[in-house]
Parts: sequence; C-alpha cells; structure tokens
Amino acid sequence: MTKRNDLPEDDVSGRHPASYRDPAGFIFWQSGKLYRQVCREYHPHYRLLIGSGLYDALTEKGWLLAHRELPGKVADEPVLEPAFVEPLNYPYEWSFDMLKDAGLLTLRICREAITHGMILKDATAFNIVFVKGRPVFIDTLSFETYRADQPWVAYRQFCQQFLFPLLLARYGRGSFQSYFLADAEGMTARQVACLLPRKTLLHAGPLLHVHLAASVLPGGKQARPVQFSREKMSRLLSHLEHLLVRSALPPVKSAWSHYYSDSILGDGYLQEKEQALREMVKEMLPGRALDLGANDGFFSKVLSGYGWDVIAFDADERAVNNLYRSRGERAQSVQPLWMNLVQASPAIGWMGAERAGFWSRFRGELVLALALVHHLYFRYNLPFAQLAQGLDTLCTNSLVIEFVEPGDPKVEMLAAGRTYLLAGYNNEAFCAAMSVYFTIEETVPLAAAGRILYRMKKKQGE
Amino acid sequence: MITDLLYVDPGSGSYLLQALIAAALGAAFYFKNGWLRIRSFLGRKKPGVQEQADDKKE
Repeated sequence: MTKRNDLPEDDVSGRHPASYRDPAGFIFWQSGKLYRQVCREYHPHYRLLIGSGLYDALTEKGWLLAHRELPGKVADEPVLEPAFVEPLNYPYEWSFDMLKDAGLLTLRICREAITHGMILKDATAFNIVFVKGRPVFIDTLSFETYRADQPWVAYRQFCQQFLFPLLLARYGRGSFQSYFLADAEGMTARQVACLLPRKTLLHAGPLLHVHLAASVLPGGKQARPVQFSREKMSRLLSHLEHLLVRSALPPVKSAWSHYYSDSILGDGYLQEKEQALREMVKEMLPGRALDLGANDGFFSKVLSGYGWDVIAFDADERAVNNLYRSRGERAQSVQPLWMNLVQASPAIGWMGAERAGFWSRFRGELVLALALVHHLYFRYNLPFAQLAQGLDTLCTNSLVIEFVEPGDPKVEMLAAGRTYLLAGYNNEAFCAAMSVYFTIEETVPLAAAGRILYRMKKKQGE
Repeated sequence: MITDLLYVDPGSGSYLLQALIAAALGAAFYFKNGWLRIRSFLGRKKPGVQEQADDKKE
C-alpha cells in the first residue's frame, strides 16, 4: 500500500469513498479540507503535467480545476489541495447539452494535452463537474505521457460515457439519466447497436463507433499490434468532436418546456410574484439558494441578480436544457440540474458512499418552492407533513414557498379523478404542517391568480 | 505502467477498432479531397472552400 501524507498507513477513515479506482492517487479529507495524494508511480506524469505547461494552459482557460501543491511527507509523493467544489453534480443530473458540452470539453482537453506531449488516460463523465453552469474537469491525475504510436487508451470509455448516451437520447431511445444510474460505466457498443434504429447504419458516426464497434468488440481473437500515428489520432478526435457538435435533441415540446410563455396565468401574475419575491429577498444576505421546480429558471435568475449562488432543479429535462442554454448572457450564477424530487438521485456506488444522494448533498440558506406544492400533493399524494419535513432537510435558514388555493384552475386540473385528496388541501392545513419546522414571517397574497406567497424561517436548534 | 490499468479497459479490440476507424476517416478525407479537386478542375468550385469537416475545430 502506498504511503500517504499525514495519515496512518492503513487508515481509510479520511479517504474519500469515491476515490479507489485510480492507483495514480486518491483524495482524502483532513481537518475539513479535501486533498489529493499523488502516488509515486504516477509522479513522473504529474511532473510532466506541470513542467510541459499543460496545467497552466488548461487552468487559464478554466477547463481544469486549479490546485495548490504541498510537499508530501515522502519524496515524489506530493499532496495537492484542489480548489474546493461543493456540492458535486453527476451526469445523471445533467441535461442533453450539458453532457454534450462535458464531452466536448473532454475532447478539447485531450487535444490540448497532445500538443504538450500528454494524453487523457481516462474519459469518464464523472471527471467533470458543472460549476455555475460551466463544465470543469476535476481529475488532475488523468493525464499521462503521450505515445504517438498508440491509439487512445480512453476511446472506448469516451464512447460509453458520452457518444452512446447522446446517440440514444438523440434517437429517442431513453433518457441518459437512467443510462448512468443503471450502470455508471455505461452500455457496451453491442447493447447500443441493438437499441439504435436501423437507419443509423447509414450515418458515419453510429456506423463506425457503434455498429462497427459492436462487430469488433470484444474480440475473442488475440489482437494484432496496431500502428497508430499523430495524424490518425487527430482525425479520430476531430471526428468525435464533429459528431458531438452536430448532435442535438429532436425538437419535441415537453409539458414544461414553455410553461411560462404559454401559461394561461398570464403576465400580471408573474410580475406580481416577481415583485413579491424581490421584496422578500432584497434585505437577505446572499448565499447558496436551491430553486425547486425551477422550470426555465426565471426566478433563479432574479435571485442570481441579488448575488445568490443558485442551483435550479427541475424534473423536466427540456426545461433544464433550456435554462442551461439560456445562461451566460449576463454573469448569472445559476446551475441547472435535472432532478425529480420524489425520486431524487440516490446514494450510490461502493457502500452507498461513493456518490452522495440528493438529500444529503444539497443544502440552501434559501430554498425557493414556487408553484410546486400542488404538484407534489396531487400528482404524488405527498402529504403536507412530509413536504415540510423534506424542505426542513434542505433548508438551513429561509424558505419562500407558494401555496396555490383549492379553487385554482391548475389545482382542479391536477385534482381531476383524485377529488378525495381535495378534502385535506387547504391553506390552514398547509400552514399548520409547515409550522412544525418553520415560522411564517411574511404572507403575500398574489391577487392576480389567487395564490399566496410565504416567507418562512427555519426553527433552529431542534 | 499506468496504461495497463484494468479500470480504463485498454481493450485490445478497441485499439484495432480505432485503427479501422482512423483508416476509414483517412480514406473518406482522401476521396473528398480528390472529388473537390475534380470539381475545381471542371471549374465549379475551388478546393478547400467548403466541407473541410474533418478539420473543423471548436
């Protein structure tokens, strides 16, 4: 076992549970900080990363997570202190264009590495995290010395992690959220070939990387040594990049993708709600906010304007994708993520500790739950008491929550066929359930739509 | 050797596949260039004006 800095040799208590796959190093916690240990075997590659100028080139562009190098206890085993990223997000929480951009970033980093005499030795989507709406590569130890006569060691992994799920989504063969949750390594070329429609045999991308791959991999035959070259590598990477750039979701309108623009509720209601929200948050000290059921992120952007660092969740992938694509016109700090609250990301991986679940990973000083309660109540039969308990888990200070009254047309629509649920659905019952965990500090009726906006404060120390 | 790690699955089949794909892409590039040259000879279009898909970046 490799020695590590400041920790007893076989102590795994500080070691991050996700960090066991790569023998080049691992990450560990110490005194509340996250560090990355570089192992001796990998040290020459790490020195090349720094010495070749690749590290500087990548961090200047914001492509690679920056770190500070600390001397290790043992020579040639430095410890890195990465710029902290918290909370992490995972491919099964991304939208189509997010996975696409993560794949493009991986290819561009690989190209840049080759110009510095290095190459990516793995290409998993889990090496990328979205920070404030931008993909960042976080695995500093994924680079190794480039040999021009060798093909790309991570090619197959790249296909399984990016190209295959994007192709499956592109051809309407299932969302890749379930793709990554079913198996974090992804499907094989043979499985994907069975799922893709026959017409993909006529397209160069799927033909070469899926159908041809399915007939070649995995070969029972002993492989011959393969001659590769810099030119061939460039051609392969260009082709993958070309395929990703051109991939797009088929234009289908989902239930929520144009909710606000099509909504029967009209502008008066939206403006009133926006104004009420602005009044509520303008005196608050900004921090991390969670916007639950964010849709196109209209209110996330309002919060962002006040300096909040917003994570915007929605269960509709199209809405998440639209929000992701609409960011960036102004410097908005909104991170969209795909999440269905009633079946949110589980804790998964070795001992269930490798990748944390939604409920333990995300906390907000401010939680926004606008036009959400009636959906959870009628669509999923979620009682107010359990709603309040869940929001209490996520919220560390303030909650802004909207209650849609029983007479509302949206409520009647949702309650159709479930009228038995209407008996318990009223403002008094809602407030009573919320009051177990929160103090109601402000009540603003939204006259235009007959809805009520509440600002609540979490009851501390219970 | 770091490259021999099982977790990245260097998969010898994947190496052969990459060689095949690179050859196919090379052939496509060669023929596309040839075709553009013929078209330019016939006075229709200058080579390299369009469809340099393989060299497309960013």
